[in-house]
Amino acid sequence: MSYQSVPPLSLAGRAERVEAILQELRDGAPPEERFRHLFEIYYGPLRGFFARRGFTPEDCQELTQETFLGIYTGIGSFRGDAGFETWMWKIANNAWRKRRRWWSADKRAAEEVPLDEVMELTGEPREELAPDTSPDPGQAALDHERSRLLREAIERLPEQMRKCLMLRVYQDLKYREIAVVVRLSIETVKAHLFAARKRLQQELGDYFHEALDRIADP
Amino acid sequence: MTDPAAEIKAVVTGLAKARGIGPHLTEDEIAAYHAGTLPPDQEARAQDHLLACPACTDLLLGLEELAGEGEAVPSGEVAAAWQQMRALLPLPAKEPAAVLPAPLPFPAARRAEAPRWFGALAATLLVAVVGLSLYAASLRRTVNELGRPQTNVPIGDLFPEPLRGDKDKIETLTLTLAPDVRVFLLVINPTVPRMFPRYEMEIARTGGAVVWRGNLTRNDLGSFSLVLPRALVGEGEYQLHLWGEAEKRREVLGEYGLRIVAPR
Repeated sequence: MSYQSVPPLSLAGRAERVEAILQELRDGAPPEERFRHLFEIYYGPLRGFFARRGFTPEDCQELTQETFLGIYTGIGSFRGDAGFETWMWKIANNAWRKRRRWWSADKRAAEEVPLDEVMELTGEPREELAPDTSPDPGQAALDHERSRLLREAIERLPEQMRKCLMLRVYQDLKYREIAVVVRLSIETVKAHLFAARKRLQQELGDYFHEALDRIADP
Repeated sequence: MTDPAAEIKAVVTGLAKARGIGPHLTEDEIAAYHAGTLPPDQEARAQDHLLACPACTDLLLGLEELAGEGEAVPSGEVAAAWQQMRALLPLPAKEPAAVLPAPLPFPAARRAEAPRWFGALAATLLVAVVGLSLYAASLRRTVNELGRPQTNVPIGDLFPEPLRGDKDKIETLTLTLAPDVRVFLLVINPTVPRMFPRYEMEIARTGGAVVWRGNLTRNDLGSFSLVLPRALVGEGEYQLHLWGEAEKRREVLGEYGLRIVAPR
C-alpha cells in the first residue's frame, strides 16, 4: 500500500485532509509522518489556545506537547463520533485543568501573612486601607434612578440585540466571539450592537453617550 | 458613581447574574452547541447559560479557536517544535533491512570423533544448568512471597521541599512498617510538572549505598507510584532523587527524604 504526502496547509479542506490522515493511521500506515502532519496543522491553534489562557510561551509549548502526547497515545480509541477537533479540544482542556491544579497547589504552599501583620510592617493605619467612599444621600438617589432607567432601557431592547450587548459588556467579548456564542454572523452582531447603541443613546441622553460609543466599537 | 462606562457594566452585570446560570454545560453539550446539533429547547437553554457564564463561554471559544487557523507561527518554529515532540513520542523503531545469513559451506568430511574439550564443555554446561535451576527456584519463592495479596498496603506520599516551605531542608517522611508488611507504596510528586520521555528514580541510604535505581512511568495526575518490597528497604533513613531525562538533558524533578521505622 502506498501513501500520498499531505498537500500544503490551509484552512480550506483541512477537515478532509485530517480525515485522510486518520484513515491512513487506521489502515496501519507508519505513524511518524502522519503525526508530523497533524502537528503542523494544529500546532498554531493549540499554542494560541493555551496562550489565550495566560500561559507563558514555555508553558504553551509544554501544554501543546502534552496534548499531542495524549492524541498519540489515545488515537486508537478515537472513533470519530464527535470530530477530531472536538476530541483534541477535550484533551487540551484536560491538560489545561491539570496545569491549573498545579498552580493551585503552588498557591496553597505559599506562605500566608495576616493583614494585621502587613499593616504592622508597613506602619499603615487600618483606616487608610478602607477610606469612606459613600456618596451623599442626594447623589445616591440620583445614581440609583439613573441605573433604573438604564436597566429598563436595556430590558426593552429586542432579545438578540440585548444578548449581543450583554456579551460585549459583561464578558468583554469581541464581535467574532459574540458571533460564536449567539450563533449569528459577525455582520449581524455588528448591526445589533450599532442599533443597541443608537437606541440607548436616544433614550438615555448625553450622560451615557460616549460610554455607549466605546461599547459598540471594540 | 461618576463613570458612565462603569455604571453600564454594573447594570449589565446585574442583569446577567439575575438570569441565574443554573448547572454548567458539559463538554459534550458545548461541543454539540458549537456543531449546531442540539435540539432547539436545549440550544436555547445552553445559550441562556452562556450569556451569564464566562467559564462555559471560554470553553466554547476554545473549541472555536482550535477549529480555526490559529495564530501564524513561523515554519522554522513548527519544525523545531516537532523535533522536540518527536523525542517525546514512543514511536515504533524502524525495522532494519533484513540481512540473509550467508549459506553454510557443505562439510567436506564428517569427523569420526568428538574433540577432547567436548566432555569438559558438557560438564560445565551441566553445572550451569543446575545452578540456574536453583536460582530460578529461589526467585520463584521470592515472587510468590511478594505476589501474595496484602491488605492495607502502607502508602507514603512524598512531596519535594519547595511545596512544603523551607527550601533549604529536605523534609523527611516517616513511614512505620509492621514486621508482617511485605510491600509498601510510595506516591512521588515532582516539583515541576514538566514532561520528559523518561523518568529515573534512585533510592540511597543516607550517606550510604544505592539500594534501588530504575525508571518510573508518570501517571495521569502527574505523579509516580512505586511499589517497593520491604526486604529491599529496611529500617533507616533514605534519600530519593527523581530525574526527568530527554535526549540531551537531565533535570532534577525532586529530592525527598524517607525514614523507615518499626512500630514500638
